[in-house]
Amino acid sequence: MKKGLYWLAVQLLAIGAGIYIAVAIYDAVST
Amino acid sequence: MAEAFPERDLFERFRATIGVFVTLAGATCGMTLLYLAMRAVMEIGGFCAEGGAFVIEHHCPKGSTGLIFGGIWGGLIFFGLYAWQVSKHHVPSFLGLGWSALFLSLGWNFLEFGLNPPGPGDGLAWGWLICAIVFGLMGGLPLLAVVKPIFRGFFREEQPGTVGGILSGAFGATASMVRQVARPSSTATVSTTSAPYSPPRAPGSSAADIAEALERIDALHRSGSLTDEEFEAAKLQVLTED
Repeated sequence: MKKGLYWLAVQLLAIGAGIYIAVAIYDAVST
Repeated sequence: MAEAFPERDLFERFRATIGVFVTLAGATCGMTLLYLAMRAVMEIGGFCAEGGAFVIEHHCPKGSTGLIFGGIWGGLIFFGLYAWQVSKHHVPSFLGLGWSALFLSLGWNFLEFGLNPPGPGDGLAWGWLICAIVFGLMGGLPLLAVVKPIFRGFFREEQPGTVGGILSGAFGATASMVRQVARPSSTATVSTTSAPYSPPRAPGSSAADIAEALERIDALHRSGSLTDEEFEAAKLQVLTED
C-alpha cells in the first residue's frame, strides 16, 4: 500500500512537471 | 501491496524514481505541447501553411509546426521509455491512460472550438463536433475499462510491472481473458487432487476450441492425471457446454 502511494505520488508529480514544462516551452516558442 | 523493492538499496530506488519521473514527465510534456499547438491552429480556423512558392493566406502560428511534430514524436518516444521503465522496475503505472488522455484532450479541443468556432458568425462547426464525438468515444470507452485495473495496480491487486499487469492496465478485460487462456495447464494440475477436472473454456468456444480441450483432457487421462470417471465427466462437460 505504501509503495503504491509512493509511486502514485511520483507519477502525479511527473505529470504536473510535464504540463508545467510544456506550457513554459509553448510560451517561449510562440511569443 | 507487494513490496516493489524488497531487497534493493536506496540507490536502486532512486534510479527507478528518476527513470519513471523523467519519462512520464516527457510523455506528458509531448502530449500537452500537441494539445496547445492544436489549439493555436484551431484559433485561426483549423488550417495553415508555411513555405512553398505560393502566396499563403493562413500562416501557421509561430512555432506551432515544430511543436506539433515535436509533441507527437517526443511524446511517443518518452511514452515508450516510460513503459520500459515501469516494466523494468516493476512499478504500477498510468500506461493504460495514455490512449484516453491523448484522444480526450484533443477531443476536448474539437468540442470547445466546435461549439465556439473562431471568426465571424455564431453557428456551430459541425465538422469539429463530429470529430469531438469520435475522439470522445475513442478515448472515453477504453477509459471505462482501464480505470479499475490501474487503481488496482497502485493499491495492490495486480502484480505491477509484469506483462499481465501492463496489459491489464492497457487493455483491461482483454488481458484477463489472455491470462485465462494461458493458465489451463496449472488449472489441470490442481484439479486432479479432489474435484473433477473442469476444462477451461472461454465463452462462445468454437469447434477448434472444443477439439483442443478434448485433446488436452485426453492427454491428461493418458498420463494418469485424470481417472476414468473424471475423464468422462470432463469430456461430457466440454461437449455439452455452449
